[in-house]
Parts: sequence; C-alpha cells; structure tokens
Amino acid sequence: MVWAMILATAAVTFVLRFSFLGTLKPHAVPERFREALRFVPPAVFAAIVLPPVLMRDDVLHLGLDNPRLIAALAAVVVARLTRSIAWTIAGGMVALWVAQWVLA
Amino acid sequence: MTPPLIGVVPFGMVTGVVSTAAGLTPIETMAMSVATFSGIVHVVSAQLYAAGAPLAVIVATAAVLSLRLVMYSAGLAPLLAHVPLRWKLAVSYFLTDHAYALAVVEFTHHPDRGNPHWYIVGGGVISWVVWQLAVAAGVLVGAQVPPHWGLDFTFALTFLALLMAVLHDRPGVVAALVGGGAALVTTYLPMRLGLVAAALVGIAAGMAWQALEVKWSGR
Repeated sequence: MVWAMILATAAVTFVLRFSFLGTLKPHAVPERFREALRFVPPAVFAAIVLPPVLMRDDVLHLGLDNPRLIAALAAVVVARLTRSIAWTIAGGMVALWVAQWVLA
Repeated sequence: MTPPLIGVVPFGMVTGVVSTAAGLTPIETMAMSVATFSGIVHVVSAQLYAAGAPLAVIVATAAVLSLRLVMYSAGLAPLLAHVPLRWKLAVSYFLTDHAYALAVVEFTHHPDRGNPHWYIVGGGVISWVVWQLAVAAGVLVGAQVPPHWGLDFTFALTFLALLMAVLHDRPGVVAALVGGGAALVTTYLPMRLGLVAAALVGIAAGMAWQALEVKWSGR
C-alpha cells in the first residue's frame, strides 16, 4: 500500500508538471481556471500551517498558553526580518522549546 | 516567491525528518523523495498515509498541492515550445518552486538566452542532488531525535515562511485567511478530505474577492 501511494502521488505530480509543457494548449484551459491557480499557493500554504499551530487533538487552542502559537508568532517576526526559511525554522523551534519549558 | 527564500537544504531535511516521523522506512522515504521530487507532496502524503487516509484521498490531496506546478508549466511552455519531447519530460520532472523561481529570474534578465531547457535541467540536477542528500540527512536526524522535541513542527514553520513570501496582495491574503480558517473547521471531515476542501474554499474566496475589487474599481 505504501508503494502504491508513492507511485500514485509521483504520477499525479508528474502529470501536472507536464500538463502545459506537454500536451495542454493554453487556450484549451478556461481563463477562470488560470485565474484560480494564482490563489493556490496562499490557500494551500495557509491550510497546511494553521491546523498544526492552532489545534491539538482536534481541539482549538487560541490562547497564549499554546506553545505552538507563540512559536508561530515568533517565526512570523523572524520571516519578516530575515526572509529566510532556515532562520524562520530555527527561530520558531527555539521559541517553541522556550515556550514549552516556560509553560511546563 | 524569491529564490533566496526557498531554502532547499532546510526543507529537504524537514521532509526527511517528518517522513520518518510519519512511519516511512528510510528506503520508502528515499523512494518517495526520488519519485515525487516534491517536499510538500511527500510530507503531506506520508502524514495522510500514517493517519489511515484512503489512497484516493491521498492522490486528490497531492493533486491540489501540485496545482501550482500547472501554473509553472504554463509559464515555461512558450519558452520550451520547440524543444524535443524527451527534454520536456526532463524539465517536467525537475520542475519545482525553486527551479521555476530561478528560471523566471534568468529568462527575465536574459530573454534571448539559447537552450533554456539546458539551464532548467542543469539547475534541476544540482538542486536534485542537494535535495536528496538533505532528505537523507533528515532521515538520519529524525531517527535520533525523540518525538517530544516536536521536530514535525518544522514542516509548519517551513510553510509559514513560504506563506509570508507569497502574500503580496489583498485577494491573496483573503485566500490564505479563508483557506487557513477552513482547514481548522474541516479537520472534522471524514477520510482526511480537509486539506482539499479547505484549499478549494480558499481559492474560491480569493477569486471572489478579486472579482469584487474589479467591480468596485469599475464604478
């Protein structure tokens, strides 16, 4: 089953990469679809980020006693200042460990 | 998205760590890494698999995650219209956020550059090697570090950095707020369909907001 998952996800990812480079012609695709593609990165990235930050065991934790929320806020500041993924990860993880230690 | 923001090494290591945390063996992780050559598809699929999602849902989620690659494919297609099919296949395999960002910068500054496919595939091979080494390093690290260090959170932090980089206009912010908010509600959906549903709702919200802005400015 894990190998089926690997092959299937690789196939769908490759087909989408190949779409316009290969056979699809730009005019064959509705204008609205191409407009929609612009919003894929912000919508998808936010949908990936928010649940692990704000939810624990399927319950919302919006208070400042949530170490992952504190870590994410710190990471936002680091991302703004440095524009670097590496520093954002490092800053966020240090903030997470400090927050967990303080709140423990 | 600007090239300096796309950290291939940290994201590759995060992919190896989180894939291991999701229960994939080192061999499965490296096979997935080579087969997909996409950190986001790799990690989210591995997590869905660990959570017991059906294969169809994992594939649908991978498709939504990879939709932005369609955008890149459309962006590069005019440049590569006349190269042989085998080169188009190679470019497709190596087409990532990183490769596209570099190609856009290069071809904006040098519009007459010959053989754009060599540039993309050459850069792709280099970042492929760096990526696979980083994933392998992540597998080694992930096997050593105890779960309570919370290294799986590095995946969310990676996409937090990427999210900050792609938010540059109001419709995009609306897509992010609605998509992110919807993701919190849709965790209750059966079969782990939440990410697909949340992304589609977010995209629709961004489009609706843009349509409204066009309407307002037209007055």
